Amino acid sequence: MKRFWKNFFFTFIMIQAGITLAMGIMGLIFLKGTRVPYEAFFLPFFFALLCMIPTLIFETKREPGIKETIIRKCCRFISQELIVLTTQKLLAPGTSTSLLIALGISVFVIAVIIQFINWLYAKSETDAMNRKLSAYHKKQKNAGTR
Amino acid sequence: MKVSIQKVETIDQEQVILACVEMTQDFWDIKEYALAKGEKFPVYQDKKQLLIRRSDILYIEAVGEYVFAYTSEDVYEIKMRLYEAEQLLTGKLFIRCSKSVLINIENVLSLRPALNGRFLALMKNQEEVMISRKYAKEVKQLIMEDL
Repeated sequence: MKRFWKNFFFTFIMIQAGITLAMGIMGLIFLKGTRVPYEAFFLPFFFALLCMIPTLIFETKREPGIKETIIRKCCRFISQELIVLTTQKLLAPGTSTSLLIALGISVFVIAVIIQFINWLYAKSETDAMNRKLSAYHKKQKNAGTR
Repeated sequence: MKVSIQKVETIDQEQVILACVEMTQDFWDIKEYALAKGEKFPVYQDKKQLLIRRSDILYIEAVGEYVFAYTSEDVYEIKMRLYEAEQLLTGKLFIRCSKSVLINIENVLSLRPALNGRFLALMKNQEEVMISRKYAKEVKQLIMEDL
């Protein structure tokens, strides 16, 4: 459970950072020169919270197999897209289709970046272990040939 | 230092004799190495009991009622439960890596990340064994601290 909440907050912070970045980039591209109200500062937090809802739904205590994990990840991603786009449409009914598409793409890019960061973290862990293993094997080999 | 090698018929007769004036650190290292390498483990093949070197075991897997020990060349049956094998081999570089598998860390060539906090261990026979996220922390601790 501790691991789940650690992961949850780590992902939450990353999503929030990703949304802030996406808002900044999209704003610069599509709405250059537009002033944003103070409420906009709460949007990354709000959308990140919404994006975390599927994580709570699709998380299981039991360890799923590879196939099930992939299916769960896909379902989680689709739910996140649906939640974010529906909320955007409800909050601002006048949102144009092009902006919704941009928002959808941003959610996808953020999801990919988060997966990539998680993979990098796991890779750094396995690299450290591989260095230890390789040193151990070298030591064993030397002991055997000396 | 002179080294003599004498061929014997069976694995039971295998032994290392150290002849020294004084037990120096080098001799202690050789003794420890030989003891760890030579430790035998009882297994069964075609209802015949055999003794194999513990260090030759890549991993031990429970399949239903049966427990098997896998080496690079063969698969042997073990007449004990997985938890009994675990108790017997704990502290000897064997560690539980999933609900049904005990892995011998000294025969792991490398590790790579898999989905959802899991790792895949590449064994000496090029087979990959899954390390579940439940046991990943313990495996990491064993490799980083005890190896």
